[in-house]
Amino acid sequence: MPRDYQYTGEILFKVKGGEHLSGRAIGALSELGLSVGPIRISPQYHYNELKVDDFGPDVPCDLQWNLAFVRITATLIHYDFGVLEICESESMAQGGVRVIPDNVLPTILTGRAGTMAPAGKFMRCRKPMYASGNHFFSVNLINTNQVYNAPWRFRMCHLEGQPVVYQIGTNVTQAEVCFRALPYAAPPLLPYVEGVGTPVLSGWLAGGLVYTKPREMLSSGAVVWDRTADT
Amino acid sequence: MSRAFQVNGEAMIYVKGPQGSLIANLSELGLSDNPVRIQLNPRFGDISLDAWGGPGGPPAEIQRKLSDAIVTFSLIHFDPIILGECTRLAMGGTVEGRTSRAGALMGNGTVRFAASNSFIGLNIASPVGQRPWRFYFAHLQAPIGDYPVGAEKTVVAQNWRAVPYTTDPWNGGLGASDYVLFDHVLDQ
Repeated sequence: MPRDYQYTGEILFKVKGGEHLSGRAIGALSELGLSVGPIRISPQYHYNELKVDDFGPDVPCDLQWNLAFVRITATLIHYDFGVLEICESESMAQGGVRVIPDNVLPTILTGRAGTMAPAGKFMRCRKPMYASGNHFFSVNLINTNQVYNAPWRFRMCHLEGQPVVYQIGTNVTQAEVCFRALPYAAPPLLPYVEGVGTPVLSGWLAGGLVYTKPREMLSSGAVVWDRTADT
Repeated sequence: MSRAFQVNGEAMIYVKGPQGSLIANLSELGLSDNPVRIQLNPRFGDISLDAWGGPGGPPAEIQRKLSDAIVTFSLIHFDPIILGECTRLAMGGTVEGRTSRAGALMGNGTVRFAASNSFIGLNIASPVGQRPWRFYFAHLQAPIGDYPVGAEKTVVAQNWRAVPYTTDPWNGGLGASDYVLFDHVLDQ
């Protein structure tokens, strides 16, 4: 690719969550919204420094790669508040749910968005992405620029830090959001053999097959982002 | 078309507004005492390079950032009821002189001429040049009027702005591609 000005064009946030959200916002790939300004994608690489006496105390002689996560920050201005609420709820390990349809603007909020799951609840429980009970969601940045038509997909995300900052009043409400994308490694599964082990995962997730209890999480091949959007 | 003197002709100003308003049908606003001035404002974003002198130097490339338009004229032979309705839509109240609540949206996410869309179609006739102007989403902006009231004729200065309003800025991924800020066909 030759050197040129890099220009991605209009970017639309889309998110997709777990099977437990089926029939509700982000149960399928859903539009979150548009940003008022540039979207910041900031990978954070991590290393372990290896020191040897001969190199002195300050400069490592080598590094160990210790994976990375990515922060995605933006200020949403034209967005679906219901979708954003579900992202907030999922980031609390689905402590609260709205009991009214997501596509109806309520006159009274009767849901429990804002209620937290108990401390210590796992967000993922070693489940694959989009599995029921996996509270991470993917964040897709969609653009249709014909020259640089390569969306960003952050596989396993949650809202973190100061996850959302709303400025409410008479001006248009902007939502400053901060997503963190963690490395996603599919849990290694062993095919079930009759009489050996306990079947745990089956059905649509396993393509109709049955699997035994997954082994430990391995970082080999973990993906923190790729350039193919969810469907 | 060949090169020639350009004469617009008598520039009658028409307005058309939302359903349920007094200007739901194309209405004559009036005639100006001087030429109607149309100022088109394409916006640009400069791209600076250190090799080109940095932010203080000229841009090496420019990005388009859409456009708006400013239309100014001074009404001298006009319909005050129609003008009052344009003023009402600018201020947002239920009758002229009243305002909407702070923060109320002009377009309200609705299509052109919908009842809750306060933008006005601003049309300027061209009986000689046959090249009228139609601004799709226009509104009166401050200062409205500068009304000189007294024994002499009242001439009302007008300051209109046309903006690229849209219900969906994403537009299926096309953004503002080929968006129509104005054209040369009058509203019906």
